[in-house]
Amino acid sequence: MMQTKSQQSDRVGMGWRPELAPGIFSALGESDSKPDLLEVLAGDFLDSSKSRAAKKTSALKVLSQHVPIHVHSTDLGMAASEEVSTTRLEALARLINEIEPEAWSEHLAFVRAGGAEIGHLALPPRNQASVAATARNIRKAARLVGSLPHMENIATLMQPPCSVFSEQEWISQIVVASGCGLLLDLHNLHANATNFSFDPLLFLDDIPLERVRYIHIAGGKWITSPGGGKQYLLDDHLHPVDEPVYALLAEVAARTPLPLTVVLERDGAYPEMPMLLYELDCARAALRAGRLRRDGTRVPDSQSVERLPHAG
Amino acid sequence: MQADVERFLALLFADAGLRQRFLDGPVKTAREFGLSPEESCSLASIPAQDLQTASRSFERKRWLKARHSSSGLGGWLSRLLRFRQ
Repeated sequence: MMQTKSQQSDRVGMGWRPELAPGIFSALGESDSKPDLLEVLAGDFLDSSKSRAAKKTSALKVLSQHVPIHVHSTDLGMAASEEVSTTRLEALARLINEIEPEAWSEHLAFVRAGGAEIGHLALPPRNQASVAATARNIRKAARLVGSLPHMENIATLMQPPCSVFSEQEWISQIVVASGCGLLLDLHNLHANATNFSFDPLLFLDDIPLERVRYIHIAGGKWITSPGGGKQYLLDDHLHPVDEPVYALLAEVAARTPLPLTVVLERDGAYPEMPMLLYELDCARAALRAGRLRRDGTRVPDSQSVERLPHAG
Repeated sequence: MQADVERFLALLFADAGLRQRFLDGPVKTAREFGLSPEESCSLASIPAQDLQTASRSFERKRWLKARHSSSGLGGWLSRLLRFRQ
């Protein structure tokens, strides 16, 4: 697993979703803009029925012979102070051993505590205790699964209480303490920067970019707080990639010499496949623009990120 | 303790009744759950709009998760892959 050591150039792929299956297969066979890899959600392939799980895994194994696969997990709760569940990790380990994906990933979040299921990703207090607990959980996961995950920064609508670290300090300490890679979700960064009024470029200054090999891009929408009064940018994966996200992608490509793997996340309100492939092309253009800037080459107007047509 | 704060946060996100009680009396409610004065004050400083918006978002995610059925996934893959082989 984890072939990224030998990865020589930037790649752009997308999240596998059953609704997109026909379009993805068609694109893999025919399109110049085809995804270079697919990211599958572990939860879609972990089934309580052994026979269904075996069928799904076997189909996924065939898929992995056609295109590189990454496995993305969402419900381990690696940033919880509770020890990550051995049962959940063993199920994930079986899937990963069977599929042999290039890489696997999880989130810097907790999803349950004391028996209460949150239902999604939440930030624990950002302090020394959560750094230590998360690093411990990551090491346990690596031991059981056989490789370290790439850990993703999450979007939040609420700053965690009882925190002493900034988001970037917290992430950096966990990455250093655990040795994991960082899956940098640029829409999560954009949404947090927008909602909590900080400069995403300064955020990039403060995180270990040398640990970033894997990037998520997505879109979102504006929502209003119950009762009105405050607006938030919600990371909903239901809209085209926001333009500032492409600009951030170019920025990361300009700052790191490492080959990057970019995955487009879309979780519903699916457009026609050509629109998603167009977003992959926009990501490729942003990467190229960043690489040219890194090499000190003037970016031609036609490749400038600011000139990318908006997919929406 | 960290685990107690996480548990309290999880309950705030998941339990609308507790959330309302917390919004009406944040420090008192947090203290009833055994949190320290410092932890309770920090929790009380969460902007009500942020807590309500985050909780609404989690509620929607729980609803979507309950509705989501991946039973057709293997079928899609099997059928399409058979077609391609």
